[in-house]
Amino acid sequence: MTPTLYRQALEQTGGSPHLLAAREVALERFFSHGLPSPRDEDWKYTPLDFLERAELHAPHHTAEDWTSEDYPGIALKYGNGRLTDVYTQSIHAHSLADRADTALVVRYLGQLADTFPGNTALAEINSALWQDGLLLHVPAGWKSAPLFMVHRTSEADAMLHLRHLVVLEAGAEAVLVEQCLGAPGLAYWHNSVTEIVLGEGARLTHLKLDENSAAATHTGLTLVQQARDSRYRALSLNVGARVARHDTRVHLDEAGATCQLDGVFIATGRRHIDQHLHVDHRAPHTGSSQTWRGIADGRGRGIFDARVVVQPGARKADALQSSRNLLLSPHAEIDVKPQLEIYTDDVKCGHGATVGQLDPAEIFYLRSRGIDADTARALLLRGFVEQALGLLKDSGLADWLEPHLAAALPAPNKEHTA
Amino acid sequence: MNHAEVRRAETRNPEVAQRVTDEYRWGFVTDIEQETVPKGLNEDVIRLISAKKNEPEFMLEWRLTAYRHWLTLREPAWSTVHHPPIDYQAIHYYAAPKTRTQPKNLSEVDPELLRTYEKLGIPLQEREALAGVAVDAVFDSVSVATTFKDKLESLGIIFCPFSEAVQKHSGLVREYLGSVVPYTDNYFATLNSAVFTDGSFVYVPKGVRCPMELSTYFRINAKNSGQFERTLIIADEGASVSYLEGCTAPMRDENQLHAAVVELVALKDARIKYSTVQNWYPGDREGRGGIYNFVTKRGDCRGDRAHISWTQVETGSAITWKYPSCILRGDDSVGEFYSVALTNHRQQADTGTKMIHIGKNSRSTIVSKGISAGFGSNAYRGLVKVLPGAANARNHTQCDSLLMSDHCAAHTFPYIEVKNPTATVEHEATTSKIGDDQLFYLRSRGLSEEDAVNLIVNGFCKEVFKELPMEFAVEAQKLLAVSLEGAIG
Repeated sequence: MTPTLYRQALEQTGGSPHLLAAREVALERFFSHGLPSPRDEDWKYTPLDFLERAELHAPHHTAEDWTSEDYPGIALKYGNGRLTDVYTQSIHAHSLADRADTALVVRYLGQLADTFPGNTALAEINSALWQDGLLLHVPAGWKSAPLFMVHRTSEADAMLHLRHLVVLEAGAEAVLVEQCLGAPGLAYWHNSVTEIVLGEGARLTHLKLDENSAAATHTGLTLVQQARDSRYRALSLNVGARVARHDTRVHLDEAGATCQLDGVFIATGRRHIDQHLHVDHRAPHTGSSQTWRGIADGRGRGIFDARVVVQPGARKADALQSSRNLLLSPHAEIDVKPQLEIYTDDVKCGHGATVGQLDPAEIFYLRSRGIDADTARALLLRGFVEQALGLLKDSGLADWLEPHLAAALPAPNKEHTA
Repeated sequence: MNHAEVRRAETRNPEVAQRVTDEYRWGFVTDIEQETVPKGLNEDVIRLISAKKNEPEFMLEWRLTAYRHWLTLREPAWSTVHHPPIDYQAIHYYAAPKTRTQPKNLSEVDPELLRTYEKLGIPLQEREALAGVAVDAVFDSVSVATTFKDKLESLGIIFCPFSEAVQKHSGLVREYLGSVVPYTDNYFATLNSAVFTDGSFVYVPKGVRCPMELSTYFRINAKNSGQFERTLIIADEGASVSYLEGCTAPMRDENQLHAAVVELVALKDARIKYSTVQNWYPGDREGRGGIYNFVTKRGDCRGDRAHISWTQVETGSAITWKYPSCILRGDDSVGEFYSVALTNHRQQADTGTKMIHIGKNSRSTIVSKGISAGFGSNAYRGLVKVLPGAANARNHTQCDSLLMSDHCAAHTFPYIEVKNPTATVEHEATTSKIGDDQLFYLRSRGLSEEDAVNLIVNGFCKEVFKELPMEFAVEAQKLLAVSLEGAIG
């Protein structure tokens, strides 16, 4: 990617003079950093040098008609990075591009992306080039209907920069489901930044489903700022893209704020799936938990890097990390980095991480009860993944998610049935 | 703790506060004539060191290559330790007690020096046969005396100062030096390769079990001197050896640099156990002075069923930066790492291990206990890597942190990289503090607060202490108690 290509993409964006100026500044900052290199400790396992060599462009076409499944809620459909169906029924959700000049967006957009420490050049290029995205604003005390944000990419070599802003005011509640799809075999780069501001006592359930095409690159950054007694619950199902990198950073700014960041990654084929979580306990009586299950098969590679920081003075912080991983093939790889960084004594923190294989004794147990090897293996894998899906129980989304999960689990192969 | 806080502690608990005045009992300076080379580092200094050691040509070449490589390197910045920049030109790279000739036995060693070791409690005299420990004592840069030499020689075991090994066993040195930690390894190891002055050399021949524990005592005495020792231990096929290392330094306001390299080579069926009690001067309560301890330690299980075990108790140093590691090359080889690291006042530790599983059925165990008090910062940093060929590799890691003040820090940075589906890797970590209920329970049974804390801390570290040889385990417990004085209050 040459600077010229980024510039061309910038010319295709739009907005008020104010916004355009901000885009220019962000682009210059991006140029001064460049894409992260593997020398950067945070990017050790996921080199992006192939993006340097790629020649990508902002999408030319907005949308194609594509059949879609039924969504148990309001669906906002984005085709090649633009909201296609402008007649959505939600009073809380809007196209961010349409609302870019409202006082709310001016106030909040970039607030987290510009201030959270450790943000990468990818956030900057997003600030410069974002085309559209979601604005979800739920006023104090309101409860939004489940909202499905569906992204589909159908243009080869497209570079999509999506920007989402979620603002839940005091006591507001919402369920947001984000799904990324791509035409099979299509190569593109989807780079999204989501800023989430939760007011006092606000509650957000956030389901993220990455089903990008097996040739795509997905980089996603989710930033969450939580006020007193707010709750953020996220479940990620990372099963798509050729190279995927998902970053989630949460700041628990006030007492009583809690977050739950759960997820599953399934790296089959040649997929490279990297997830980074960063939770910063910045106030007393804050809580966080992370439950992740990962599977790598074929030539897949899964990376789980989670860091919990407990700042000085964040007494009575409670943090738990659990990362269990299955390595199913001799060519697959799993890298795990569960980290704790603690600056005060009155805390309860722990983590556990394992990498192993399916227990032959468990397979034997099932086979001795007349279940064939393939089914036994599938059952065990499903059960393994289930451990990270606790969040689904009371979300009403379990039935919708099930087929997606089933499709992502590794297919039986001869090596294991032997 | 700043002064105000100390005073607050005093009013709350006068008994504790009295002991807060952090005692470093090994802080005396020995007044003996020193021979030093001028401050600073350049090729001439290296030539001078090499000439003083009367080294063969290959050693000088090796040092110079390392030095030239070092000039191209930059000091690493990835760890959690912070310190003002080190002026590598303000260090004496060679400091030795002045003696007319090389001592032949203990009676020729400067009595002042012997008294120093007596103060340190090292059984240097052979009459300490009771202690059964063969000691090689390194004072500043040179090895002073090695005890029990004859007995070891009769078994074919070589245990001598490194500089002597270079003269007498240059074949072995040439074969193994830098074969585990090459001179290109990292900034501090490269520096060490260029300027190391002495250290210990151990060779245990085929099938020999070393009948006693071998021990080295390191002491930095001279002002503005750095200590760069290099230890090389080779256990030939079927051999076994247990090696102990202890360290102290006088109290000084300046920081002193210690950049050592330890290389262990375990061939087929060999077993090496390496234990360290590191008690370099930690600096005062405000973080003035103290040793910067940047050490590279690595063991290579080169043959099948080789076994390398690291045990460390780190209570000293202003900065500890060390990662004793095992390369588990042989099939069925075993690597172990047991560590207690304590940081009090302004001490910083960034320590851990690397277990590289290459051989089939290789196994490793990591037990790391970090204790942070005062403003201390303690980080565990470890890597467990299972390469594609390491079928059935197993690792279990347990990292626990004990936090004893609201200003201290405890970090855990484990890296797990697995490329073989039959491997099993487990990592667990917990962070906790000494519970008020635990303290209350012990105090209600008549224990003083200090004793109660010591009891709890010792319990916390038990898994590691039990890996230490007896005498060391006792010493380690005492050290921990001393280092924690005033940590509660």
